[in-house]
Parts: sequence; structure tokens; C-alpha cells
Amino acid sequence: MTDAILEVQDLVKHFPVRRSGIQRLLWGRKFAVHAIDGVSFDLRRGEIFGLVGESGCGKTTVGRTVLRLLEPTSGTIRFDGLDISHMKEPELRPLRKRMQIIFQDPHASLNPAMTIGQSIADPLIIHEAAEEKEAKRAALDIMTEVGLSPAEQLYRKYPADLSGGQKQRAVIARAMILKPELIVADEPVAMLDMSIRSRVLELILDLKQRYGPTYLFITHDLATAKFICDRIAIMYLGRIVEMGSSKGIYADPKHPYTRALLEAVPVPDPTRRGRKVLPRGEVPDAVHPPAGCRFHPRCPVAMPTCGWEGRDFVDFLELRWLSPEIAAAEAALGPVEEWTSAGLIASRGARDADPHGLADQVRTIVTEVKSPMTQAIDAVDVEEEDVVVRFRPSAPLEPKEVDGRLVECLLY
Amino acid sequence: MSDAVLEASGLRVHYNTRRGPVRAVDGVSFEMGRGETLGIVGETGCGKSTLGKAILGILPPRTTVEGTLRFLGKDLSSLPREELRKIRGKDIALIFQDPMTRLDPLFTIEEHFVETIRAHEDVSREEAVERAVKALASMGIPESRLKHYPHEFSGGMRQRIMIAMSLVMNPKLLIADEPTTSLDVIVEAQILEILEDLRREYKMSLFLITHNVGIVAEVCDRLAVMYAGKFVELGGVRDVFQKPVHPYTQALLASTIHLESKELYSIDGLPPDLIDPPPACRFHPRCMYAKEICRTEEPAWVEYRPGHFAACHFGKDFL
Repeated sequence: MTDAILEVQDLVKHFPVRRSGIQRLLWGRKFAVHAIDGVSFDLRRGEIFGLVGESGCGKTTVGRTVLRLLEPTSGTIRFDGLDISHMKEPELRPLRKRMQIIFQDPHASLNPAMTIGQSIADPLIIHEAAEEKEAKRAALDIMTEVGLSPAEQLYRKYPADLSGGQKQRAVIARAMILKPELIVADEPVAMLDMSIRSRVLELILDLKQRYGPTYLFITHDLATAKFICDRIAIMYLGRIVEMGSSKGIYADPKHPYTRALLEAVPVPDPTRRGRKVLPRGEVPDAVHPPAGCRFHPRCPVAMPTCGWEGRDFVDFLELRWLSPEIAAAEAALGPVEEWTSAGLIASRGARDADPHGLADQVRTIVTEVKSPMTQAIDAVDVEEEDVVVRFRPSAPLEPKEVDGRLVECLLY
Repeated sequence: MSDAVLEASGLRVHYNTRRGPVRAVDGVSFEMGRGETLGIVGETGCGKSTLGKAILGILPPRTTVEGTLRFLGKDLSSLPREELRKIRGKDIALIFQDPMTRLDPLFTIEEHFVETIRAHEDVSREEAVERAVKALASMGIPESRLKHYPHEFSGGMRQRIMIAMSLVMNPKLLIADEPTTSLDVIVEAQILEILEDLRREYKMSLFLITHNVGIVAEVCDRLAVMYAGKFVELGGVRDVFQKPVHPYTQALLASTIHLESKELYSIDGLPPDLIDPPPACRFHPRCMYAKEICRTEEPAWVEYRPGHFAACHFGKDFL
């Protein structure tokens, strides 16, 4: 036995994109959202492990998959040494009371038709862990413990009578009543006002002291994660890009994405204003994640080997043409709809124009603009009257140990 | 001051409900200079969004509005409907928290622009499109996306589109109500930089409503802290952040969790019900310094430093 309560290895979860019959006839291929694409980590007993990333990075899907609210596409999940990756519901049932979840929105997490007390006592009844009377007593106890007092009085209230902070306390009480070993807390304070947020975090820390559950703490807020987590994994588009002790990561972030995230957090000190170095654009579509390192199109320190491909060239042209002068000078190459890209290749049919002339123009642009992207271009050719821009394949990328933590970046 | 873009004095907004009037804004006075960014911070339900809506005159029916609001010297409440319509959306523009709910899913981005521009100016469709292309390009959105529908854009792109749309009219005052709250931190930082650049370039005034004090510290010139329908403090960002006078401002700043926070701090109690707010100083039930006078007498609005105001009986103790 290891001291890990949860071991996750090469976890993959894809959600198929539903398409109509005609779309399938036209494109045939199946598409899927690559919500998680090969994620591995362990949760040590009694720690708070933070899963940090922007919306759409797959952090919530990881939380739901490790609790087996979703079935993984591939990879393994071990809970207390037991492989639960594809376990059926009847077998999962007895394990469920050992793992609980706290959701982001306390208003949506409580049944409006049940009193607060009933909601909190419900897990005991469902798992047949206690009789009704006993369950009520346990509920009153835990309510007092999470600061819902006077408990007797609040027991009979309905969710609508409570404030947001009180509701979240009730949700936490409900998750704690079975004394679970693993709690997935999915953005538990994101919807609360600042003045209340700290109190809920204190409660989470306090309960950890007392009962020692292990938390998988999912958040987009780096400041909160810094405060509460022992270890942290930074996720980007379905991959963990950096993982290690919170102390180490905040003191010396290694991955350019981690650095960008930290840089972007607003600092409540007006004397320290300054221009930030921000990544370009936004998180791309998880149906077609970028090749190589998924962060490469936005990365401020990308290299030619990071995974540049055909569509990066088309995006480059499009952004270039935002300037009316350049757009006019390069009108022969446009419009951007004429370009298609597939994998390492971007191409444009020449139609009525001279393909060799167009190719020359592209070559000039590529030599004039020195960027990691243009340096990754292998050749600009004319093939069957098409102008073809071909990229060199990217260097292989895998997580590496750097200063006691895992980083997935070619810089190291 | 004559170069004020906006002046509010004794502004009150009460929503009339069955339980009685909700005093969302209860006696607020301030002015905004040209090219200035004024941040309004406060927690949920403090009345900050109502204040923004009042400036634009888009409050729901059966709402009582008292006091005066002057825009470029003109009393907005005395203007005829027609004139108000010309100002709204043109001279005073608004961007919201969630751009998706403000863009019509049935119309392309091009349609949105054409309609907005032609509602205010008598120009041809072609000219409107041309201006749309320019405005979008300044936000980094290529022309090829004009024919796309709102759902085809990411959250950050939608907010850029909203900003571009409010800017085609060259507004004097932009009201931004939590413009980055639904966005991720990196995109949030991008949008804040865009707003900052635009303000400089167009000499536009920005009225920024937010719950995030970090954002205020990064982009605002001055800030007003709002609690239970009233301003409790107003001043330059450096003054207020470094030497906050009002105990609520102190508590709000301390409870903000940021990357350098050393400890968790929270304010006891809950924000009050605005139908029946506490008498005198509204913060007194939650204030650790409260004395008898705070329960009985409304604190005066005192200028503690040049341009730095607060409403607290014991303000000078915190200087």
C-alpha cells in the first residue's frame, strides 16, 4: 500500500461531438472534445491538491472522472489501491460514501424542496449509515461545526432563506457528514463575495485539521490555490503542464503558461502598475487542440520546435492583414478563406494567379518576418498549381523533472 | 468644476417592491473628469450596478429616482426622451459582464454594428460596415469574422466585439459593469489593457464597476467604495489603497485574497437588507470600531486629504 488515496494514470476523457446525419455524410470523421488528454497525478492522504487552470482546461472533468461520475475514455483511476476506472455502479456504491463533491454554485446544489437539515442528513439515509433520528443528530452536530448555528433553527429552514455563504456551508456540511476520505471541491468559493470567501476557506482548512480528508481543490484562482493547497497541478487544454509543491511553483514558476497565469493576476497595489507580458489570444478549441505543446500558438517564448503547423500560418496571415496597408500589399495572397490547412501543411489554390509568383511572395514574407513560426517552416513549394507551406514536425514533448517538479515544456 | 463629464448629486434610486422600497442607491454624489477612470467597488447588492444603470437611464419601470445627474453640464432628468436617446449608446456607452446575453444570437456581428451605427447616425450601410471593420481590427478581430454569429466567438472575443461596438460611436463616457468578471485571468488582463489604451487614445472617461479591488488598483485613477447604497469612501487609488480611512474599506482590502496575502481575513456578519438598512452608519453592525454614535448619527462626508473623502465618525483616528 502506498500513502496515495488516489492514483490517476494517463487519464483520457473525450466527449464525442454529436453531429447531424448530413454533417456525418459530409465530413464522415468523428469529432471529440479532448477534455482530458493524458493526465497523471497522485493524491497523498491528507493533502490539499490544487488543480488550477482556465475555463475549458479540463479541471472539472478530471474532478468528475476521478469520482467516477464520468467514465474515462482510457487510463486508470485507483482509489485506495482499488482500480475504479470502469467499475460498475453497484460496486461503486459502497465506495461513494468515502468520496464526496462540493460544487461551485451553492444555490444550485441544494434541493429547494428539502430543508437544510434534511439535505445535510440525506447522505446518511441514502447510504443507510444511520436511522432517521441518529441522522438528524449527526446533521445538527456537523451544522454547528461548520458554523450554521443555531443549528436547531436553521435545520428547518429552506435554502431560499439562507445567504450564499450559509448555503455553501450547508453544502460542505452535507459533504462532510459521512466523514469521507476524498473530497473534490470544484471552485467552492468562486461565487462568494470576498468578505465571505475567507471564512469558507478557513472552514475547509479547519475541517482538514479535524478529520484529515484529502482534497482535490479545483480552482481558476491562483491566489486562493496558493493559500490553501499543498501541491498544485497547472492544467492547460487537457494536459498538466506543471506540477509540484505550491511553494515551489509560486516562488519560481517554470512553464511559460504558469508564468503567464501568475503575471495576469491583478495586484491590489496601485504603486506597482506596469505593462504585462501576456500571451496572445485565448484558449483554443479542445476539439482540435494544437500539435506539439498545446500552448505554443500563444506562448511568448515559443521555439521553432514547439509544434507549429499549417493553421498557425493561416492565423499568422489573418492577423497580419489586420493592418490595411499590409492587407493591400498582399492582396494577391488573400482572402484568408482561400487557404486550407491540414496537419503540417497550409495550402492555397492559385486559380487564376501564377502559383510561382504567390509562392515567391510567401517566401519573402517568411524570410522577412523572423518568428519561431516562420523558422519552423520547412519549405514553400508549388505542388499541382497549389502554393504549399510545409512545416517541420515538432520535437517530442514529455513531462520532465525540473527542480523537484514536473514540467512539460521543451525549454527544459 | 466645469470640465466634469458627469456630476451626480444626492442621487437616490429606490426599487419599489411589495415589501417596501429597496434603497439600492441612497444619496450618492460625485463627479468625473474627462479622461478619468473612476472605479466603483463593493460587494454583491451594494447598489453599484444600479448606479451604472441610473446614469444610463435604463432602470426598470416603477423605480423612484431622486437627485440630479448632469452629463456635460446637461441635467439628464430634464432632457426630453428623444434627446436622451441620442445620448444613450452614443455619448454614453455601456458594456456588461456577460456579452453573450447582450448580443442577439440571430444576427451576425455585421448586423449588430450596422444597426447600432445607423440608429444614431444617418450613414449608408457600406459606410457603417467600413467603420465596423476598422473598429474590429483595432480589437484584433479580422474582417472575415464579420459574417459570423455571436455563438461562434469565445468569451473574450465577444467582449472585444462589445467594446468595439460601443466605440464606433466615439463615446465620451463608457460605463463598464464587471466587464471581465466572466473571463479568465489572462483574457481579463488583455481586456483591461484594451480599455486602458482606448481611454488614453480617445480621452474617454471610464466608469468601472467591479467587485475586484485588484482591477481597480491596476486601472483606475480614483475609486469609490460603496456599501449598502452609499459611498463610504472616495479618493485617489494610491491614497485609498495605502491609507484607507473607512473601516469597511480597510476590511474589504484586507479580505481580498491575492498572491501576497499572508493570512485569511473576513468581515463578520452579512451585508444588510436594503429594504430596512441599519440606522445611522450602515456598516456599524459589522464594524469592529463601532461606538454608540455610529448607531445614532449619520456620519458626515469629510475630506480627510485633498480629494480623499470618507464617511466615518472616527475617520481621523485612521489617518
